Amino acid sequence: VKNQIRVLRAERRWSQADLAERLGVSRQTVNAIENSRYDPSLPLAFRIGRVFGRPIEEIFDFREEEAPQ
Amino acid sequence: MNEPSGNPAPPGAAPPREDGAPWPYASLFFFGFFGTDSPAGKRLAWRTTWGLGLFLLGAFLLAPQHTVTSVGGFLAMPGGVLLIGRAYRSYLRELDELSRTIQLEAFSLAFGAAMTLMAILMAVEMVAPPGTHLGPGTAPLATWLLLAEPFRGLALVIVARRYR
Repeated sequence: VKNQIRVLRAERRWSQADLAERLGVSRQTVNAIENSRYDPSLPLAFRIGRVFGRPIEEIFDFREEEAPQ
Repeated sequence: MNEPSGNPAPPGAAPPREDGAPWPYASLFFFGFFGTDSPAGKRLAWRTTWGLGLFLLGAFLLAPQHTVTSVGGFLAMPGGVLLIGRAYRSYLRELDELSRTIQLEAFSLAFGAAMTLMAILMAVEMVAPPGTHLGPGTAPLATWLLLAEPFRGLALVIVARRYR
């Protein structure tokens, strides 16, 4: 799952630590999500959407061919 | 530090701090948790120290050379382990979802590795000439179970590196 978090964060000039504080997660977690190393749970994805004021589908881009078989 | 706000920053505003967030590998490898920077980590450190202290007290009271064996001694050893187990349970609940995933994956890897090693040693002992002892026949079972801890430290580092 690709995402736009880094771009949205840069637009607001937030550091990863700033975003992590807003989401109530660790900075490492934000870093892993940004780098598409970790797909957040649905509740966390909703929190991310709320923090940026965007719907989830505008932030996360799910490609069917990337889904595990 | 830039105060987070819901709106895009105005032109010319200071850029955010440097990004990139390595996991605390040394703490994960040697101590099996994410360190004492967080309140949850501090609580885990204190509780496991108390648990270990209670376990060692029980071991001391039950040691064969001591005559002071008591109900307290019998209760202290499992009590200490129970305390450590409860401390980890609380800690896992307080972690965020990725940190918890890393801990749980490491637990499963370490458990599997320790059990596999133990099974291999037992199998070797079964086919070895009589009198050969490699498995738990010559060492207390706890010794073999303790092998899971270094496996867990290693597994934590390996799993955490996948999420960097």
